[in-house]
Amino acid sequence: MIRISGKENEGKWVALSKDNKILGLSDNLVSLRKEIGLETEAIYTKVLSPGKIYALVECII
Amino acid sequence: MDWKKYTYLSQSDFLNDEVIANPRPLLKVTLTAPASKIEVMGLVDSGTDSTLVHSSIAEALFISRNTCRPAYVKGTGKKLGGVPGDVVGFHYSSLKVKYEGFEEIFELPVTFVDDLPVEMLLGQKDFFNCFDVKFSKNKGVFELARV
Repeated sequence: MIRISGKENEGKWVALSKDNKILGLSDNLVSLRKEIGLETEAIYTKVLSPGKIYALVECII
Repeated sequence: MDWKKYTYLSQSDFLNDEVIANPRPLLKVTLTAPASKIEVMGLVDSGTDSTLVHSSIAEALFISRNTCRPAYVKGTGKKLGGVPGDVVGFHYSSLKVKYEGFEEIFELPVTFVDDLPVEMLLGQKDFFNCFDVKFSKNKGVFELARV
């Protein structure tokens, strides 16, 4: 199974199959969707760095 | 009340870093716009006020920011790996949203945000108002029930 580095690929878009295999990886979500095919069943997610603590609090003015 | 159970998910399934990726309460979400649809992971986040979606997803759904009202979002800043300070986004009035495990389709106002670290945040106003949520981090599960 292909694995990637979270640290080196943080912020990139990943297309995953239903069983979590990597179908594609790109900086650009639109390009990635075209690359793997719009009709291909995939879940899209962004790579997070495992070494980083995320705090996602926000408010809208 | 009919509770549905979900596993905390980690990106360790596809990352090869020595540090194990932190498991998070992530839910598969299908977003449908008039011209396209996409499946992404939504982070169940009680600290977020509304529904935030990365602006790249708007582009993938053929939603133009030029037709939407601008939005201004305050975050915790880049140092904390959160929403980076004051960032710009745009409101979209009605996106069809379907959550894994539920057949119901919600039509929600969402805010598309540039530079969001994750693809989608499910916050208080739209998500927590519709679902009771039980987090059991030590067991690696969270549960949802439609209110």
